Amino acid sequence: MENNYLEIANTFPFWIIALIMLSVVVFQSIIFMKKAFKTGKKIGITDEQFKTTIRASTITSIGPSFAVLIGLVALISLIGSPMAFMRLGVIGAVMFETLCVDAGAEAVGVAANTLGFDLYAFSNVMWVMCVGSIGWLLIAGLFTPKLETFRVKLVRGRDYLLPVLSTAAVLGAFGYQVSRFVVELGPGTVAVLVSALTIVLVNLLSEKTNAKFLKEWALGIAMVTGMFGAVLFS
Amino acid sequence: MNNDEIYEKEFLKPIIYWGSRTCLLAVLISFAPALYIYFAYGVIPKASEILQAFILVAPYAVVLQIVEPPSYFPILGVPGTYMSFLAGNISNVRVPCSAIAQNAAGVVEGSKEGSIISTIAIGISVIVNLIILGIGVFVGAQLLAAFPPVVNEALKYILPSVFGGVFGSFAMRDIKLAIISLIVCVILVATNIIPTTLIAPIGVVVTIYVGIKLTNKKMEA
Repeated sequence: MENNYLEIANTFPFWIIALIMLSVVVFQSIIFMKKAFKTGKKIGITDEQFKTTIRASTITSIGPSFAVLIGLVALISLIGSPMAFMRLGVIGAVMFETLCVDAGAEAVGVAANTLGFDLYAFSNVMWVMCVGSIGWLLIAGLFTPKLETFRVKLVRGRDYLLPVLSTAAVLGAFGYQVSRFVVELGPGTVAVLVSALTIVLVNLLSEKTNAKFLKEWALGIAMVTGMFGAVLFS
Repeated sequence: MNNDEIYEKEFLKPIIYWGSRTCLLAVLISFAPALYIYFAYGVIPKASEILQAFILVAPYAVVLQIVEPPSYFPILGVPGTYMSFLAGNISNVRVPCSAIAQNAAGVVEGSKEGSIISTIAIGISVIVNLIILGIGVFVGAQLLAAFPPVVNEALKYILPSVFGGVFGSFAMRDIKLAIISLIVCVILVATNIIPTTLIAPIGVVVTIYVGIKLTNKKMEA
């Protein structure tokens, strides 16, 4: 059995596979954005709103992307650069991929980051990453229009329910994410509280002073304050 | 054509066409690394070993696969759902970007305008994310080493900061719902009586139910 699996995992064909997968993602994003700009203009979205969106999203995605980068560096040492890049650029999330490395290794009787982890274990990891995550793609690929139908049914012409639905869904989903850190009563709790408070203050300030650009920076500012607030208390 | 028709015909229809195809194409490509190892090196695990590994990740993955799409759909919209589940990093990158952009642009989530703004926000986040990861894949380790230690320390707390920020910004719209959701989730997490993967969907269902009830009451009054 080939023991130096990482050498193999960093060979050219894996880069090609990663690039093909990433180009599907980029292709989809570009097509969708083009359509969104075109249709958006027709139904009355202003250039200013488009610009705001681009700025807000750029600012908001930088911080979390650096967090993904930390996961990427860790994952590279386990499955090589091209596959780590592919898994975190597509479908993936750091937690799921790390879980797969452990599960794939355990199922063939070895542990990650040990000498026993060979090409055989690596191939099992590749299988479980694939089989374990196609559910997300299949459900999104096949049932997204159904979700729209379901929402229309739920709202039944009562359009005032639309914003309630999204507010409630986010509060429910992120209520769980937040409580994980609230319950642990540590620096994470400080981060949650400081960040939540900051974003409320920034949004209020934006409304008071009519400084709309503050809304674009809101989560960016809140993240930085939350992060360093946690460091101060840790 | 009125705006609804333009949105349906010129936007939603091609989005569903391309969205389903790109996601299904990605399913096929995701088999490539495992198959390549088999064809190039003759190495393939036993079916029982793949299954065993799958069983280990299933409690986490399968539950999320069923509950995440409907939970995030109201904010992401149709195009945003295709994009987010293809690109991954949903709760930490896609949902925050979509939500903050819709808030900044002043559109209603779930409306046509909201769906279009969400599409652009997520598209931009995909590109920013890939640029940072693309640089990171070559110089990530050096980059992280070059940061002052306090920055690396702070980056450990980015997840709670993202979640707290998104929660706070939505709590402003409906503080009652926010408190209800938080109480339900904190109790469920702290008492640990149900599997953690089920807490989020329960939170979503409870808050949506209460939210609709409260709003209907307000509208009837």
